[in-house]
Amino acid sequence: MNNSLPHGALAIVVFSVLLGGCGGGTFFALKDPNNPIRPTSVSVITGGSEDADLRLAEYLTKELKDRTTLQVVGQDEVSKAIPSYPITVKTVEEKNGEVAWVDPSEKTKIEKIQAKLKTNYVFVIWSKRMVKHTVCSNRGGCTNTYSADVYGNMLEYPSGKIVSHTAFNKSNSDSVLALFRAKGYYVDQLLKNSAEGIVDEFIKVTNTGKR
Amino acid sequence: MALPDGRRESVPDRLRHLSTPPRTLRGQWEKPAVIAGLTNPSSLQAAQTFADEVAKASRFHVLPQKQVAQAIPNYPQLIKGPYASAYFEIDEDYAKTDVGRVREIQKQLGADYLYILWAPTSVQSGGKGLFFKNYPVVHVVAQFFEFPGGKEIGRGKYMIRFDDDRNEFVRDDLAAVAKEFAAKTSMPK
Repeated sequence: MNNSLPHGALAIVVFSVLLGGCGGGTFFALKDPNNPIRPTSVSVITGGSEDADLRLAEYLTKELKDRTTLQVVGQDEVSKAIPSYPITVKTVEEKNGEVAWVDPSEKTKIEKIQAKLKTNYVFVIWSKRMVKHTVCSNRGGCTNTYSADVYGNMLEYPSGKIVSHTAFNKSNSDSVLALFRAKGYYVDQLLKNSAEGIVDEFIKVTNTGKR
Repeated sequence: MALPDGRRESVPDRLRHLSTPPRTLRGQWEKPAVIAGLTNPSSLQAAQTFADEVAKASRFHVLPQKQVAQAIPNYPQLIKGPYASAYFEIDEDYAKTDVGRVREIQKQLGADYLYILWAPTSVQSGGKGLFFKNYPVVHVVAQFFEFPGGKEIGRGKYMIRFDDDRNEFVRDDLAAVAKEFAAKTSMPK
């Protein structure tokens, strides 16, 4: 048996993981690549109700506002328009959790939200399975690694069709500066990076980047 | 749940209640309401359970949750809470509470006192055994306001266990919080 190939392949994998260091998946992809979309206005709503879900929606809204030509509804306006926001939006997870879709039973709920926000696209985003993994060295000191699965779907109106999907895992670890950082700093960074990654791909796919 | 030094955390270790010194309220027939500051099921269920436990442990005439839901349109509503972040633990910052929103809600309710609680995050620790059970732990931060005026007269931060099998909070945890709340407001039964 030739051992050099598996070792070489393993080295490439390890190198890639070290270089990337932060999970993988699809940041933003059209459900039907042959059917391009032309959003003019978009609102982001969180499909979860934990702090991480709300923050992710805030960061995604900010990224879209700052970097695209779209009209983006702010999270404060979303909150004012929908008094019970955030509302949990159920998902159907397929292919071992690789793809999350808005549960069909939730479409009426999102339609009502869209009717208030009046944007031609609604981007539903979830942060799921946030995990903190702590490794302590026998020489002293511990390192925390945080990871989360991010799911998203964009719906087009008035048809209410799901036109895109987002499904990836992101992780981030404490650095030596952790002592000087606020408690949620590294999770915040993880969520900010997730939003940035989504908008990078969103701009490529929709060609709506600011010039 | 284990503490960083490896010692297992007991329930009393996890409970930190109102941090203001004990004080006497205006009278024994005060009418407080317990409100969820977030729209998630944990906050709503914790508010319901805590209201029940305060009614049991104190002389307060706690406004029933049904009445709270009727008086506040679209209850529960999001009230910006006293924390900078709340992922695996709450990084409290009491200046961040949307006090204006708190006052609006009090007007709708007409309660003398508002106890608002936020349960923004729950943590599940690893490990499971035949003879022990690990509960998800829900982190809670709370503020207690007096009206008219809307002055904050108490605050608390604690953790409560959630029993997945029964789909409810472990009653003892919130009962302990309610007992201390009653003692510190000089209203025990």
